[in-house]
Amino acid sequence: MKKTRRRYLSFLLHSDDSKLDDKQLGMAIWKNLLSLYGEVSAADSKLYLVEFDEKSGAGILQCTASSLNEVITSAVLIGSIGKSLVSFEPKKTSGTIKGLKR
Amino acid sequence: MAIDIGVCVSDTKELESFVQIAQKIGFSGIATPNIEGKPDQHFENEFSILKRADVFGRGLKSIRKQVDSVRKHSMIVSVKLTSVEIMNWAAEDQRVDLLTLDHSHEYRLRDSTARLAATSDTALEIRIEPLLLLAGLNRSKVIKVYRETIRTAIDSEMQVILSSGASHPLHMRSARAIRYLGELLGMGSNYAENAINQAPLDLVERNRRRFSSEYVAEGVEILQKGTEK
Repeated sequence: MKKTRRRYLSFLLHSDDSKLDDKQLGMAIWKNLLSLYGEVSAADSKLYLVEFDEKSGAGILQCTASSLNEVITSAVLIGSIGKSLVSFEPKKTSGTIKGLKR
Repeated sequence: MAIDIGVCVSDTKELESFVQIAQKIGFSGIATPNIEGKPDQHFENEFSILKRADVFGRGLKSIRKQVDSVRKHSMIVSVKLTSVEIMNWAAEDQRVDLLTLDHSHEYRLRDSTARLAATSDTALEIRIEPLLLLAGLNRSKVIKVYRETIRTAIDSEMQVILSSGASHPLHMRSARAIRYLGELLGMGSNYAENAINQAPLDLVERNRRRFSSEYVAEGVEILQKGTEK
């Protein structure tokens, strides 16, 4: 079986509430991806939130290379999570986590 | 550095928080209605706050009057897409910078209007805020309208400009984020990049030249003043 190419995205989540955790964020991106591009695309994206710092809002997402644009678009379109308004800012993409931190 | 030319600060007390977020996400300026003072103001660290006028009304006469009165005091003048008569006039009038698409109205951009706008450098403004506030079927309907309108503009060589349309600081998005939304709306990657980065800058630079004391008319500038004999 051919191995799928992965992409990592570093991002910053601006928010008016610092209590947002990784589960809430991951679920919000997943829901938006599902709503915008459908169940098959959401499943194929292999979306995974690698890390997220609740205080700074910085985090890293992992997905397949072919679904990177769709994942970023879905994340950017999140207007709020629960009652808190958020603004998702994509920072850098790379094929490895090490590459992101360079 | 990019300028977000479609921010909607409703209260001057909120201006500072808009500026803070805009600086954080990498913008070098914002344009907003409802501010006092000069058309082009500078904040800390060379951040530009530009005065913008959103003109709307029922009749052409009222729109003309408003454009007459706001042009000299605003860096950016925008007219909402409404009736064919108003759209065609605004598309041709060089004092109008932008035709702004309002997704909630049934008015659409026609090919003929887009061609007129292309000849007089009037751009189509697409605001992304409705896409953040809506979900599901309602968002799908807005995406449909936006995609069709952008297709019409691009086919007629009318410039499209993307702006946040943010009424809250956290509804602003970075230029890079807006580029991805441009692709969602049917733009190519390079076109979307230009629609948020270069096209708004070009528009602001053109209007800054117009506001300078050396400007006489389009293509006519005073280079050197002669001495009276």
